[in-house]
Amino acid sequence: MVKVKFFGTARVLLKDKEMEGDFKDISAMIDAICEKYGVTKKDMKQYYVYVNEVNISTLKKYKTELKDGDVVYLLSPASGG
Amino acid sequence: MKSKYGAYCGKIVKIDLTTREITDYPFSDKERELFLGGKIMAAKIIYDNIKTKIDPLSPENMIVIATGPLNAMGAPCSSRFDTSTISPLTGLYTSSNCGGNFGMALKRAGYDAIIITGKSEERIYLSITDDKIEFKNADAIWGMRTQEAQKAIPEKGDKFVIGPAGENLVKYACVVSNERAAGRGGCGAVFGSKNLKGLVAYGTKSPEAFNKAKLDKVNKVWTTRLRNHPLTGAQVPKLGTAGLVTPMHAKNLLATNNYRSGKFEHFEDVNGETLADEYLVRNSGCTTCPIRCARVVKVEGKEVKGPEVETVGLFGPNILNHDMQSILDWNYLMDDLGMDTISCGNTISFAMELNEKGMWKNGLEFGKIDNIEQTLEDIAYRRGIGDDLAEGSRNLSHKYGGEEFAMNVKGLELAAYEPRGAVGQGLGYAVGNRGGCHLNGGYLVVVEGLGLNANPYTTHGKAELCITFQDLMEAASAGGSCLFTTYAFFPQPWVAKPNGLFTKIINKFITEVGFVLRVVLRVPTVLAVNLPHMLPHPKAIAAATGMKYTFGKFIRMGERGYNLERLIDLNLGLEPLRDDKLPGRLTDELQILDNPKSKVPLEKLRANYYRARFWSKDGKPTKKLIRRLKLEK
Repeated sequence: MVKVKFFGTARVLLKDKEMEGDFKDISAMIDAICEKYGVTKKDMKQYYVYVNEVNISTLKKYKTELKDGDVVYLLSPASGG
Repeated sequence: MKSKYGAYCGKIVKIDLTTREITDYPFSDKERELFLGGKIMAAKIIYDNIKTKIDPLSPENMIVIATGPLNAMGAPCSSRFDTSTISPLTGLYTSSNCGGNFGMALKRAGYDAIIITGKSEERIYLSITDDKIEFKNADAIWGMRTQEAQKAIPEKGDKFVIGPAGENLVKYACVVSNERAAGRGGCGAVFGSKNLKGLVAYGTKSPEAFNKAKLDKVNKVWTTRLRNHPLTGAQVPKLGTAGLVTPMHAKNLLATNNYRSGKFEHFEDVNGETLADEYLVRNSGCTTCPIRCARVVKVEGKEVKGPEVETVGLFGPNILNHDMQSILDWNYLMDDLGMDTISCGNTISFAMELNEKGMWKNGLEFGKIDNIEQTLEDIAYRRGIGDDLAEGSRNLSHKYGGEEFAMNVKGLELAAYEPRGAVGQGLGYAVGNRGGCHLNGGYLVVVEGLGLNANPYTTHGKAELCITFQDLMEAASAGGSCLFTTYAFFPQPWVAKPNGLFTKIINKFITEVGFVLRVVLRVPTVLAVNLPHMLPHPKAIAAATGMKYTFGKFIRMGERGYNLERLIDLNLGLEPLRDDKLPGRLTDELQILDNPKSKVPLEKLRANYYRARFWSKDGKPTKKLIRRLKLEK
């Protein structure tokens, strides 16, 4: 089982803290989120994706494979001070 | 001295608390063009009046409370004012930017700035109502905390007061207006040293814009831009600045265990999402602010201002505390006692590590929170260990050792960003004129991982990016605007699609454009334009004042301010090669053992920075640069 945690404006958009499921890769995970929460893939492009605290931009991006026990973060770009 | 420009009152007064004389302070229109307002106007005044090292808590020190031309002009997020003085924490120039309405009240009373000098024999507060400035006895309110004192001052108007921490000369005491604070650098202790409890200001005047119709149009476009931007229109309003905790954790930027790590196991207990989900009553903001970053939370059943990311970070992960309610309670307590949460939290974590290492037995332990509330009270009243803690981390390290893990620069404690996860932020901390300040340091974390995702470890381009951001923020602050307005400088597509091809290209190449920035920084007037995607501040300043302000002139004005601050610091005894440095932990120890890049390569970054600033190799503005910036005496 993969745990997906929603942070930043992802939590605001999806109105949920996390979901669990078995996903082949990040792309399949995003499809599942879109189906469950009724959002679009375009909506999902607003977020950084981390697998086990590693940004997927340094892995295989949306083709990054997922396995049992992985934890995924969806994070929005942030600023403050 | 009246001004031909719009948006100014044309009046600055000097109030001598020793003699009780009030005199007009001359400030010409030429000086307004060069130094605009706020912290840069204040820096000019302090530069002209304090020429050598002084005791910041002596009557020789001065306080300049300055407004900016955009205050009370309807510009978004533009109610900010600055309190500048010589810091008792660093011995150098400090300027603390504060929200709330006091600055606008001062302006409506008819003053661009007030200068406070000397020391009153009796405890007083200043009552300012239009042209009338009165010295009022403060015996009845001396000893009161900041909220009670503001209520107890009978005069109508906005208040700006110190609490017990300022009265007792805690080196990082702040000054509070409503629930907002001029927090950093110990302005509150300077008030206390002058027997000044605070001020109340009320005015009936309306400073006029040079071209109101044009200004209204600029303000409308600017407000829309802030509302539609992903950072200022969604992330900050929804989650507050504490929304940064999660990305800071993810990017190894969350100061934890006195900066021994950039990640906190229990970050989800103290992040902005938890604050919003479980504690937020509503958000709120300053007058004219469409962002509304402030959190309203409950403390003992009362609705009060919630904590910012810095307070959450330094009283959460950095002392290994994951109890959010305790942070809310202490945040309110510190505001009420009148002390800076950043310096206070950082000093406490340093004391915890001293205790852990057996260097100072003080009872403070990481993860132990039942004695923190009492410790905060003890600091404000200088009781027991509180008397030492009230001196700040640098003075503590002089007494007990541990300089390499006393997390300050030039005496000012670092914010909650762990710079080994973003070395450009480390550079900013090191070279910042007021010490270890994330904002005065350029706030490069927003490029190195929080907003954009540029390489956090490379030294390429970091000096030039740091300077550009420092100068922009300096200029925005001088105009009277909140620094958060500069985040809309990032074009929306860069942050709306962080994984998009365009953003990836930006992330890849933004650190490689140092040479372009260097050309622009050399002659910023080449940017003598105001294009739609550039910051709207110069357009608003031009419409409000009638000055010919372009983006290039705006950034040059910020550069002038930054150099002026450095010149003040040099007069006060700054030795750049000795003082522009970081605690040893950040330059000598790896944050991540198997990542050899996870420490700050400061020498290289600093040399690049001095070069890109057109300073000498020993960190001083050259005579040529001083001439170019029109800073000759």
